[in-house]
Amino acid sequence: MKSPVRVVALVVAGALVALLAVLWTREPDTGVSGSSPLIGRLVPEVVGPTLGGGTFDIDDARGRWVLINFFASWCVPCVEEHPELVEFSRRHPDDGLVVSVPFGDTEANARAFFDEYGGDWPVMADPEAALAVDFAVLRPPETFLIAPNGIVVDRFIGQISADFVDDYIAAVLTSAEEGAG
Amino acid sequence: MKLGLGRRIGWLVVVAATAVSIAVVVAAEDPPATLDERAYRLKETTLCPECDGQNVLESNAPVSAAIRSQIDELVDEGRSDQEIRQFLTGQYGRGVDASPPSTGFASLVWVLPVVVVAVGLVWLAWSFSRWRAGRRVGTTDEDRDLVARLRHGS
Repeated sequence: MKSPVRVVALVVAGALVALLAVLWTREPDTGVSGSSPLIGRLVPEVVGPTLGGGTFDIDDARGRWVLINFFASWCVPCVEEHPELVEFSRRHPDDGLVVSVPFGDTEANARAFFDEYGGDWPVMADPEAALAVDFAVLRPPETFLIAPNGIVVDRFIGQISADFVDDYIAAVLTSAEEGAG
Repeated sequence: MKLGLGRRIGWLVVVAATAVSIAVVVAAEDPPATLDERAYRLKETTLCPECDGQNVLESNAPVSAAIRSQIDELVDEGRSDQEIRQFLTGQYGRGVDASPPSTGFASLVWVLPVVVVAVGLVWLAWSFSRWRAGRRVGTTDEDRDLVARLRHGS
């Protein structure tokens, strides 16, 4: 007959293996819509120098779907998400734009992040965290979707994918068409 | 036995002086704080929206660092404390404001200590006056009769 201690140890080990299996096989989190007082309003001013040495003004991006992505080089979901932003940028050279903003990170780390993972879109310098507070960002990654007319459509908390954003935009356009019809 | 006119006036002066002192302390505004002091006080009374019960001064969360940085900026720009609090609660919700409001039920935090001190002083003054009055018991006719009987041995 097995001792009770051995039975308990086997049960605990089994539970741990099951937990590891679930964690190992689950799909990564995708962005979920989060509340924000900005949704439905004109996007706050996003203007200033970029880490690339130029300047950016979000008013110049009118007519395009803009993703304002807050990220950090130390944030694992941000690293996993980045190729998806690259993909979104590749799919939408004319009607879409990604704008990145470092959050809780240094400019040097942000530069190194882009050097390593790519991406040729504007990366805003936000040393005083003015943009982070204007958008009330809590933790990276967080992404705001801005419509071509400059209205904030939604806030995505967590990792997003290019397909997710495309599907979302398609749904918004369909809804708008139905509303107009 | 009643207090004499001079003593009554004395007590009135003491009570009036105390009341005026409290009123002056309550009504007087704090001396103008430096920008650093104001920023420190704002950070001390702004809660981290990501943490449990920590203010942004204590918290190491990136959002707290961002809020600290913005408080410094807004104070330097000349915004008032009230404007900064309104801005932050507009962005992160009312839960980040840890300063007791000056209106409504929570305003009792400010009012109650003053009321307690004022009531306490009035009670003390009243108690002292009764105590002093109690020590000065006058002689009654009965007392005089008793003394007279004892002196005459009857």
